Amino acid sequence: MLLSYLSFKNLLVGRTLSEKGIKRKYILWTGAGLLGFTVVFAVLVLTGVITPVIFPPTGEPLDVSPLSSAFVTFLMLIILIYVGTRVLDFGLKYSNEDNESKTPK
Amino acid sequence: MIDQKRLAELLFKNIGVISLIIGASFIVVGTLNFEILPHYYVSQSGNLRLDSLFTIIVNGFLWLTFCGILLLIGIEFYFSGKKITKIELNDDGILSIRFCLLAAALICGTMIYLILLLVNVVDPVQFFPNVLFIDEETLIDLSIIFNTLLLYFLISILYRVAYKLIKFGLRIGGVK
Repeated sequence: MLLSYLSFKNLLVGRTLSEKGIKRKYILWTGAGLLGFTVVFAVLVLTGVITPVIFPPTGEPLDVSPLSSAFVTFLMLIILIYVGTRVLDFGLKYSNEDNESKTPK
Repeated sequence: MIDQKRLAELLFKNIGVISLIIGASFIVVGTLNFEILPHYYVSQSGNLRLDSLFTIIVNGFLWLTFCGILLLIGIEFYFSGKKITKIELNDDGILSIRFCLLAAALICGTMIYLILLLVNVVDPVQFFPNVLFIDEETLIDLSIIFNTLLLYFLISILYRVAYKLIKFGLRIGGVK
């Protein structure tokens, strides 16, 4: 349903993208969106709007729970970047035959 | 209608040159007047000698890192700007240029934030309070190191994402 709507929309603006081409485009934007989400989260932490609390403070004299929370958040962001990169990689390899047929060899 | 390809090319080259000049000039200024470097984080262990030593070393490292990031951004963007001219304007080319424009917007924000930090207009966020390492003889404030590392890691996320967007953007456009 969505794909047929998108094909129709593309036809309206004078472009003829195949179904696979449209899917490829959306996979690529999903990857970019994942990377964008990571950036937004990092900016919110950097500006102090969000303070990630994964492990609540214990109140002990040598309390490292804020430190652990901060580093776990950082690792989660790294994982998000990795997933975004893999999605972009998948999108790049997904159905390249349309472009390959256009370019002269 | 603005020619997006030309806009991306101009943005990349200008950001590259500006970032290179600013990074290099801040390094020179910081080296010549070491005492004017801002103290982003201050060690508070109670031992005056250790505190001043820690504060100088960590803040000097942070200053150098910020300048280094600006230089890296400059080099990467200037050479990527040259590659953008090779992108062909088909469907993939348009998508590729959109990715590059996104990366340019992101790196503009990062660059402005770094410059504001370097001129000490914005204070970096204090992620966590004192983490004191207590030995039998010494008391070391570890939070200054952890705060510095986390600030560096978070800023590195911003420019790494921008690099990835450029890299994939150019690959979508068929530029090696």
